[in-house]
Amino acid sequence: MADPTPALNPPVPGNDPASRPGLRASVGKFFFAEEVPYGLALCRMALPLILLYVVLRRWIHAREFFSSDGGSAPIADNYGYFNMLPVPSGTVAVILMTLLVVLLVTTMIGWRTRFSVIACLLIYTYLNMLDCLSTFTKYSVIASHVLLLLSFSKCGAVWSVDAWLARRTQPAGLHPPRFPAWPRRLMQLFIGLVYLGAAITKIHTPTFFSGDQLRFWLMTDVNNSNPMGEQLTLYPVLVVTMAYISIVWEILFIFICWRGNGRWIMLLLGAGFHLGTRQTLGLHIFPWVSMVTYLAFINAGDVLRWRGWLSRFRKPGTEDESAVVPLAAQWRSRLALAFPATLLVTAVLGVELEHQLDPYGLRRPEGPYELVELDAEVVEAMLESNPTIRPEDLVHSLEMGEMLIGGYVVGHKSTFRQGDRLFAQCTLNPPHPDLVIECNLHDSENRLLDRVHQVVPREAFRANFLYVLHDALVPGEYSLVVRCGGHEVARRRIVLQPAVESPARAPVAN
Amino acid sequence: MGTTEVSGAMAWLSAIKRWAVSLVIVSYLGSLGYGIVCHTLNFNTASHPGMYFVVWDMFCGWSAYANRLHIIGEGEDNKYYQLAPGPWTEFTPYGDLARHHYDPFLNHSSRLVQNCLEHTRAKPMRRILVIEEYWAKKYNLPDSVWTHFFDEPRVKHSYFQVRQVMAPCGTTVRRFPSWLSRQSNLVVSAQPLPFHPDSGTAGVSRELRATMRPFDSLRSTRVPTMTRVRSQSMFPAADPERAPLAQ
Repeated sequence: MADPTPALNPPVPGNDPASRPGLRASVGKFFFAEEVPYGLALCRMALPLILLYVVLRRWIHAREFFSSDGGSAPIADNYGYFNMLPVPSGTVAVILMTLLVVLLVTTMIGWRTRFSVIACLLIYTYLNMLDCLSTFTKYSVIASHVLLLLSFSKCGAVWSVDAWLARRTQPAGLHPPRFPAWPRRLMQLFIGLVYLGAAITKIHTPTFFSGDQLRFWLMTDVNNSNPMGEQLTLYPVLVVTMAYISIVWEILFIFICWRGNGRWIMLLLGAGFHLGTRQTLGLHIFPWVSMVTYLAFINAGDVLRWRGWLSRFRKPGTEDESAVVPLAAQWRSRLALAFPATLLVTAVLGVELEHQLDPYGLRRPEGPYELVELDAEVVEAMLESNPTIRPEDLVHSLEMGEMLIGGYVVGHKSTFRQGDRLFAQCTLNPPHPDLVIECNLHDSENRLLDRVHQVVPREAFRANFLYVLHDALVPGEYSLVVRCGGHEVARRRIVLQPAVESPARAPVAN
Repeated sequence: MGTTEVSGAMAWLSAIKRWAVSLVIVSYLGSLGYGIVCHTLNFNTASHPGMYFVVWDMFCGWSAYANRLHIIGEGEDNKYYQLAPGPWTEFTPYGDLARHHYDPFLNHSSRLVQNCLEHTRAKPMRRILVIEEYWAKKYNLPDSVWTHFFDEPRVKHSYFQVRQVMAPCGTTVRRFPSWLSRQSNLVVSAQPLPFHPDSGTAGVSRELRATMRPFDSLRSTRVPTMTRVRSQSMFPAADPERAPLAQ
């Protein structure tokens, strides 16, 4: 007779330790599980589009940036490895740049994908390394990594000319082919490690957490315009908060980005972060190149789900896979020749076009350009000695508000009431020597009413002053005057209004 | 029998392929990991150009001052010419700054100058100067932000310093520390740093010696002060070089 008592804690499939795969099997499944490479195909299509913008802008300058007939700037020189890479002649540089443009297009459309991606990787990385001034940056390094990983993958197996041709030469294979996932996994790990490295950079920089570094980044104009960043300097507490959020996100990314809601949360935070750097730091290409790697997180399940959604808007019967017409044999041989012919023709046309455009202007009717002569007075001003920093340039800002949060003044205002507390904060520009900063209160006729001074050591960036605007100060206009080294360096006008009268108490009954 | 052999060979090839792929995975992740470890421990990060591909130190530098580079040629006609950017180009790679501004260590200024001189109708040059300009970044702020910080109107003030002097052939004959680095030094010490090599240094050619001479008395912590002395040039006239003694 069977025991009717149900077993306590029956084994749940997957939770039974005996049924769990071992570490080796899990790693093997992680890297070698077969899948349709939709995510990498999206990377293959998106990255060349971005790089084309970068490359086309520099195409006409190929001779100047990447050749011995110009002012190349090899990155290896910065590391002391002179002549590590050969610098090509002007014509060869133009040919390479032209081929790169064509190969980016063929990569994007997936025509001879494997060859195109490998050629893009080699030419793009090589040319980039010859110009560290205006081409080679961290985003080009990220792009090189992505191209390297795409070159290992079968990213041209779907959504490509190659796939279209394959369907017409081998009509039996109607289902999309499946390949091991490891190139996609490496791309996911790559971007996670990039963020981890970026977090380590920030950890190495204590001023990142105080907000000082970010604040000065926001007003840097070596990139594109960033008006939102400049406005953000008014809200340092927000900047510090964002700094903490960004570093937590950068560290957590590699651990949480793999599945479920964590994947979407991390990716959306990342997209927000990167688009934020576009608006606040003026970075235009870096965010898009970084976000291309996010496409590697799209898996076949996502694509199937999206197809299901899209099918609601599509008329039934518009896709008939069985109606694929096989390609005629003569077209196959023509297409086999078309690719090298395209490369050859465009290379020749590129050289001719560059010759006609004459980037140095050597073949102009009036001859080469004259040098631009500079005004002697301008040069004289440049050659004047500037031995020390002016006191007013030691001070970055003078802010007034009603409280301090995170070491910053918030609630900026210049109108106070009797009895209010006024926090004045004088932010200094590093480097500065040990200073004595005065923050004095003057009346409307510039008479000194109160003098407060503070020693600011060289490692400090801010001096805070607290004024309690007591009843002895009559309502009216006053000024806070900051003096440094005996010089007035900043002045802010404040308006003092009468205290808000409290409701009169009822007299105590006698 | 034949089918078994073929399938065995296929399995063998498949195993080799899997090992090769595993090697690629381990190598790739190992190189990325090496970069992370080096960066974390601040070890070997600049040992080879390849490290730039595995060290993720984006935006590691910051400053309260903005800077620009001016590359100027002093012609033998006592006029000054702009040598970067070249007169043929208005290309700005990342914003509205010309290419030469992205060379903070001046590793490539010589090549830029040579390229400019080779592709223009340039007059003969006496010497080439790389001058850096600094100003406090607060002057970059728009008026709407400036008025939150100051009541005074914004009056931008720039600091200039000669960073590099080159001979007409592009050879660097003098380098000076950046203005900002000098200010950092002054914060802790007003003592001068050791001299640069002067024109009497053995092995210096006659041409370079003439270019270096105006700077011989300058210490690296001092900004070279240029004053007009007799000649139209703002530099002291280079001493006429003595003819070498007969051998």
